[in-house]
Amino acid sequence: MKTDTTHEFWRLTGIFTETFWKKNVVLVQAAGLCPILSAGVSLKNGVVLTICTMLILVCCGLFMSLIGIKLPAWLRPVAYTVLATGLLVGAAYGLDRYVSHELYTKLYLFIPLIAVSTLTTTRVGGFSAGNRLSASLADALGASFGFGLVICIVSALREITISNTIWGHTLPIELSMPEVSLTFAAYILLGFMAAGLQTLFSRRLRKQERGERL
Amino acid sequence: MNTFWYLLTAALLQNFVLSTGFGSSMALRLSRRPLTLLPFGCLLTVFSALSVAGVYPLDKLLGSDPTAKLLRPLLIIAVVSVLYIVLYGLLKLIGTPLADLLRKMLPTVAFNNVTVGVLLIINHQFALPLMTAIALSVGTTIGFTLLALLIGDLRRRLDHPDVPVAFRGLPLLLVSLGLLALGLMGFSSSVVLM
Repeated sequence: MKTDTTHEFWRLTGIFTETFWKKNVVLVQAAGLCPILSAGVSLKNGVVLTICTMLILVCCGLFMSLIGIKLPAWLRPVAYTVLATGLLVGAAYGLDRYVSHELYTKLYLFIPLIAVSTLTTTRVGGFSAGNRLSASLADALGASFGFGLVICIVSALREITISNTIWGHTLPIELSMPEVSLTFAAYILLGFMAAGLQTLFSRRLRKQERGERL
Repeated sequence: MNTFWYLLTAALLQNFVLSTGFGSSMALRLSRRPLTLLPFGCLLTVFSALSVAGVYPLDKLLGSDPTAKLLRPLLIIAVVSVLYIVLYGLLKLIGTPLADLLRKMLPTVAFNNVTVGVLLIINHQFALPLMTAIALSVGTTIGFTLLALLIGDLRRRLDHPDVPVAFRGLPLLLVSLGLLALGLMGFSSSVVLM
């Protein structure tokens, strides 16, 4: 019984690390690029979009895991997209009313788009439907944290270079490159981040291969 | 003339994917299968034009107060979902091999950042007549298809042993897209749509 629980724990940890790190949803699978490219210009934006993405991936993932298999395949995209849009409209209302109207105005266009982003269609529509509840939750959390890590790094770097601030606090540096707010800068930055991750894994793979040969 | 100018500009001069980032993940994924890109692009163009025509009058009815602004995404998704179900049924009725291929593509065509993003942007930023809005959506989807074809070709050319291991595949593709977006920025001084 204990072995079964341990085995299950390691299986779920494997699913989490796969989408979070080894096959990062953004830097390896190229999913969820849209919010990073267009709205990832300040750390606050990055954090709000991460929370919204996590809300959608977890709730819709669990929904699809529970009843997705009972629905015909062609109806599944309609079911999770409508649910996701409803949740995101609620999240946008909460952001506007209780958090910050300024942030809502900045992100009004981008929050509903999370419902139809590639991240949602691949994780919720592709993985969660047909997988167990625990596996679906581990995948949703891995994908959310993987996406969150990338968008927060890109947003923070862009905020620093655009306005010399981080989370609204001024930094003692002299940098002013407002052009970084355009999409080309995010594409290049993501390209270098993806290269960094690829280098890390290719080195680890080479070390493993050498170890096996010895 | 204005309508045609919008179509041309959205298709060639100010690429939606490169200037806004909407649909970039989909373009990268679709570029792996260049043979299916053309039928996908045609279906995307038809679907996008139909959804603009469907959302436009309802959006006018909804108005522009803060509550309407909040509910607009739900209206858009409702129209897109109805259109998806109707088209799916129609393609199933037709039943030819091409219709079956298009039916398999339909979920990706209907629920993506390009289709929904265009609807949100047209209604949020522009006060355009219906025909111009349709022309803009058609131009955008043509631009998307051309870019996906270009990425497919880039993918093939960049698969070269001289490319450093770290940059092989997605990293170099992203950097190339960034440089392409930077190049196209030159047009934005004379043409500003999105």
